[in-house]
Amino acid sequence: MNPPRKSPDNDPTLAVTPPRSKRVLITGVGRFWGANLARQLERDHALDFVCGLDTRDALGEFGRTEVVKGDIRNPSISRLINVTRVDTVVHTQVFGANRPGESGRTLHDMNVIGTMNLLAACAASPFVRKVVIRSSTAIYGASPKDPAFFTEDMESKGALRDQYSRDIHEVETYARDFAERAPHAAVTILRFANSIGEGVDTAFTRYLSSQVVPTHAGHNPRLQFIQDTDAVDALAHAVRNWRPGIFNVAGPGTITFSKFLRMAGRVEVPLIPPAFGPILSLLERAGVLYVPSRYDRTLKYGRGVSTERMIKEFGFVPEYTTREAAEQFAAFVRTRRYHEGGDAHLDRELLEYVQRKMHQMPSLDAGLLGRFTPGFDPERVTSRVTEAFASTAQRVRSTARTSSSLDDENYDDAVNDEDSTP
Amino acid sequence: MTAPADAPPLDDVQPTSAAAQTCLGHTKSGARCRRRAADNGYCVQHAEQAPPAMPGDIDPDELRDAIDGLGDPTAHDSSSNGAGGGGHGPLDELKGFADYVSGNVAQIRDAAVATGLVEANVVERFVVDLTHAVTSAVSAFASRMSGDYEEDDFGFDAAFTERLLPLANLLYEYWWRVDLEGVENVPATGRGLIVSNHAGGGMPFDGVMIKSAIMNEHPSPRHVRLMVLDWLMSLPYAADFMKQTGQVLASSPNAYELLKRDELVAVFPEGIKGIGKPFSERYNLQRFGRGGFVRIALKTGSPIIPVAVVGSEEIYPKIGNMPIVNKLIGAPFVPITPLFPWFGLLGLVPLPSKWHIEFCEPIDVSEFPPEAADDRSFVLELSERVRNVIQERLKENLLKRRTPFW
Repeated sequence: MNPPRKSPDNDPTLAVTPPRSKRVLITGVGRFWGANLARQLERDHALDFVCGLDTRDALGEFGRTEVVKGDIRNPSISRLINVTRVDTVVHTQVFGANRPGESGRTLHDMNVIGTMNLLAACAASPFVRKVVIRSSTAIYGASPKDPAFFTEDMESKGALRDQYSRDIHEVETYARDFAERAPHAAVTILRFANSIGEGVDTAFTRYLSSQVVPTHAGHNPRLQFIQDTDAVDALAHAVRNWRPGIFNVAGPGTITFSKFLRMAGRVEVPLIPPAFGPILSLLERAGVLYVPSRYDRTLKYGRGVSTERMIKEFGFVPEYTTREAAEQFAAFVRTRRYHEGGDAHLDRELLEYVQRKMHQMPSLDAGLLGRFTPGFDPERVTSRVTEAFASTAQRVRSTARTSSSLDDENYDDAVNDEDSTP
Repeated sequence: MTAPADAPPLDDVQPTSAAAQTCLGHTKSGARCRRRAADNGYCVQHAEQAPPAMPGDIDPDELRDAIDGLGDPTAHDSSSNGAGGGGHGPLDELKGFADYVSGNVAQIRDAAVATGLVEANVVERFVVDLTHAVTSAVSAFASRMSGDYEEDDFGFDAAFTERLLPLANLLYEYWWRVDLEGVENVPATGRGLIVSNHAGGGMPFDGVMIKSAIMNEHPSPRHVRLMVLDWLMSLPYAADFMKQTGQVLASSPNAYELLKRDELVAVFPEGIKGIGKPFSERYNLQRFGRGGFVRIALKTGSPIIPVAVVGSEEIYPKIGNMPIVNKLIGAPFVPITPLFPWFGLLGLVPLPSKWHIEFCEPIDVSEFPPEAADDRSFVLELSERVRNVIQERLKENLLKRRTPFW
C-alpha cells in the first residue's frame, strides 16, 4: 500500500540537501505555542500549507492556516496526514494541568496516547520528512544532586516524581523510537524551559505573578526561563531548518527565585516543609492560587540546562537570556494593573487590527509578487514588510498587552481553555 | 594592722608583740574584755569575734586603692543609681563585667605582650578587625534582604562573599594564624584546578581558609569555587548559603562548566574519606577518588595546583562516630571529638591549631591532549603524582612546625 520511501540511502540527493518543509501540520493550536507558531509560519511564503489541529478552539485569528478541530488520539489522524500531504508535523500538544479542575488522566491520555497515535500516523505517511516535538526540561527532574547545567545527554538524578515529567519521558521515548524506525525523517525534540512573557498564561506564570508568592523556606532555586516569543521562534526555526536531534531550549543563564521575586516586587512567603503542601491546597480550594504539584521540586531545588548545543548545533540564539526574560516579565507584572484597566481595551483594539493586517498582508503581497514578477526577490519584500509591521507591533506592545493576552477572554469561556508550560 | 607571715598560732597565750594591748572583744554581758590581746587584737577566748584575717601579705588598703585605680565601674554604678534602687540583675552584672574588661584591655594586653604570648598591638588590630567583620557581615545580609545584589549563573554573589570575608579573616589571622607559602603559584587569570588534602571532622574550614588565603594574599585576589559534598548541598539554608558564597555541588559536569568559564576551582579528591578520618590517621592522605579531577583538568587544559594544608587535622580531633545520629539526619558521619557532643554547641568551636598552607608548583597538563583523559591508567598515574606531591609537602611542613598549636 505504501510506496517505497525516499531516504538518504536510496536517494543521494536527500543526503546532500535535506528537504525543505513545504506543508506543515501543527498540533495544539488552541494554546499559545501552536497558535503563534501557526501565525508565524503562515506568513512565510516558502510554506505552501499550514494546518492547525487541536481539540479546543484555536487561539486567536489566523490568515491562511486551516484549522481543524480534532483529537490526536483519533486513528483517522493518519488519513488527515495523508490527505493534506504534510511533510512536517510539529507536535506542541503536550501539556500538564494548568487549572485545578483539569483531569490528570485525560491529560496523560492526550500526551502519551496522542503522541503515540500521531507518530504512528507519521510513520505510515509517505510524505512526512520532519517531526518536531515540544518537550520539556521537566524530563531532567529536580533534585539536590543535579548538576548546575543539564546537557542533553544527561538524565534525571533519580526517579521522575510527577505525572507530567513521566509523560514527557514517554513522549520522548516514542519520538526516539520513531526516529529509529524512520531514518529518512528528521526528528527534532526541543526541551523547553518554562515559558514566561506577556503572551503566555500558565499555572506557572500565574504563580510567579501572584501578589503573595508562597515559597519553600530555606530553598532559593535557580530557575531558567524562555521568553514566550523565543519559544515560538525556536519551533519555527526547527521547521525551517533540518536539525534532527535533542536540544534544550532556554534563555542562557539562570536566575535565583528570590532575585526574580525582588525584581517583580512580589511578596515572598517562605513556608516550612510540612506547611507548604496543605497551605497550597487550601489556596487552591479557595480559588486564590493554583500551583500544580509538578512544580514542587523545581521550586525547591531549581534546574538549569546547558544551552550550548542549542546555540552551536541547533543554531538558535534566543533574543532574551533568562535574566532578560525575567526582567521583562517582572516589569510586566509590576505594571499589569495598567494593562488590565482603564484605556487598555482601546490599545487592544488597535493591536488586534494591526495583528490581523500583519497576518494577511505579507504572505499575500510577497507571494503574489514573487509568483508573477520575474527576477523579483520575494524574500526581501517579505522581510521588509514583516519588519515594518513588527516595529509597529512593538510600539503598540510597549503600551498594551500583546496579542495573546486578548485570548485571556477565551480562557474564561472554556474551562479547559488555556496554555500549559512544560 | 599587719599580720606577718610568720605569725604564731592564735592559741599561743604568750604575748609576742611589745605593743601588746587589751582584747578588743566583748564578754557575754557586753562589757569590754580586759585580757591581753594576741596579735590580731583579740584574746584567746574572743578570737572568733575577730574579723577574718587577710590572706597572704595583701594590705587591704592597697587592694582597695588598686581596685579604685582600675576604675571598678560597679562602684560608680551603684553610687550613681543607688538612689533609684535595683541595678543588680544579671544583665547589670554582665554590663559591669564588660565595662570592667573594656576598661582594662590595655593592661591585660600589656601583660600578655610582656609574657611574649602575643605580639604588640594585636588586641587593637583584633578589635578593629572584629568591628569591621561584624559590620560588613551585617551589610552583607542586609543587601541580600533588600534584594540589591547580583549573582552569576551558579547563584554566586561575589559582593556578598566579599562582605563575609572579614569574618573568615578573623579565623585566618587570629584563630589559626595561617602561614602561607607559594600563593603566587595560583594563576592570576584563567582557569586553574586547586587540589588539596581534606580534614576537619565535618566542617570544611580548610576550604574556607584556602579561599581567604587567595583573596587576602594573592597579588590579584580571586574567588575560589569550592566543590562541596552533595549532602551539604541538600540541606535547606546551608545549600543556599554555599551557593551564594560561590560553592557548587561536587560533580564533574559542574567542575567542567566552571573551568570552561575560566574560574578557579578547588577540589578535595579525598572527599568524605578525608574529612571523616579518625585522629590517628591525621595527615595520611586517603585514596584520591577515581581520578576524576585529573580527567577534568586534562579535558579543559587547566593547570593543577596541589595544596598542602597543615593544621586542619587538629581543629576537630575525631575520636569516634555516632552511627545512630548519622542515620537519623542522613549525614555521611557525625563525629565525636574530645569536646563534641559533650559540651554541646561549645564543642563545635574548632581548636586553635597553628596552620600552614602551601600552594605547590602548578602541574601543567596542557601538554597532554584532551584525549588523554580517556586513558584510565594515565589518569590514575597523574592522580597519584598529585597525591604524592601533597603527601610529601605535608610531611615536610609537619616536621617544620614546633607544636600543633603555635
